[in-house]
Amino acid sequence: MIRPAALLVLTVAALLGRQVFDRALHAPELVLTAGPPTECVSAAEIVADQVLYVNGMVRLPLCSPGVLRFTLSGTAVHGQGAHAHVTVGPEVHWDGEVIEARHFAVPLNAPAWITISFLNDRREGPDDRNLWISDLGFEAY
Amino acid sequence: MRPVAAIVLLAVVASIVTVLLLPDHPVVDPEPRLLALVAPRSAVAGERYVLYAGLSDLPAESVVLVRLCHDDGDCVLERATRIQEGGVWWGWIGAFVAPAGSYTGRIFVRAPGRGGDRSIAAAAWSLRVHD
Repeated sequence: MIRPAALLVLTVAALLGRQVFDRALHAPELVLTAGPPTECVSAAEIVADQVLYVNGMVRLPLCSPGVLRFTLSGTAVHGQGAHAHVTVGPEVHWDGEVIEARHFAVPLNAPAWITISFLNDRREGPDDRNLWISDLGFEAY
Repeated sequence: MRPVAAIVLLAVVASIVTVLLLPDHPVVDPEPRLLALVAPRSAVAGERYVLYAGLSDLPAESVVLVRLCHDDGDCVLERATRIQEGGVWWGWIGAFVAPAGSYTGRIFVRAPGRGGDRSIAAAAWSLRVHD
């Protein structure tokens, strides 16, 4: 007959062993988690006006609370304007077509990478689809 | 304690120690982090769109796979990018032209390990393509 103390130790060990084996042999797919920037850009370093003539991404590692303001405008090919995509960390802040100037104010409460991207470059004859970023600036709280 | 119980207990403890000491085990690997996933949520049929991603804490020789499939099953993008050096990586992960419909995109990170690559991270997003 197994003594109660031995039974307890055995049970705990078995449960612990089961947990370890579950992680080892049946490791679940992990969800990608947000990562803070390891470097920071200051407001003075931000280039206020930029043009994306081809597909591309502007990345800003911002580390203090504040608001990022900018204006996007674009040109069209076949009536379709520039597709802009704005992310704050892993979250999508805005996604859509831009032709006329559109103003943005992106609040930032914690350190995060902010990206502003142009995703649907196209050129046909004299028509050239581009994305303009202007008045880009960060105001810390 | 009876001999059988002692043997079982020793086997369990030995197994735990063995698993924890494996060099490339998921328990001790860093977890990849998604810095940004740049993928359109809406698109126009017949237009070409690109995708970008930013990842950190990647093991060396990781592979980033991206797949974008119509909810009925046909995929318009399936691409793998091997990243030689670990750490932080930003880059282009693919492009697509899609007919109208509802799509689901998935990004996977696979890392080399003993016995073959294994999935260590994944994320998904939805896309609506209209005429």
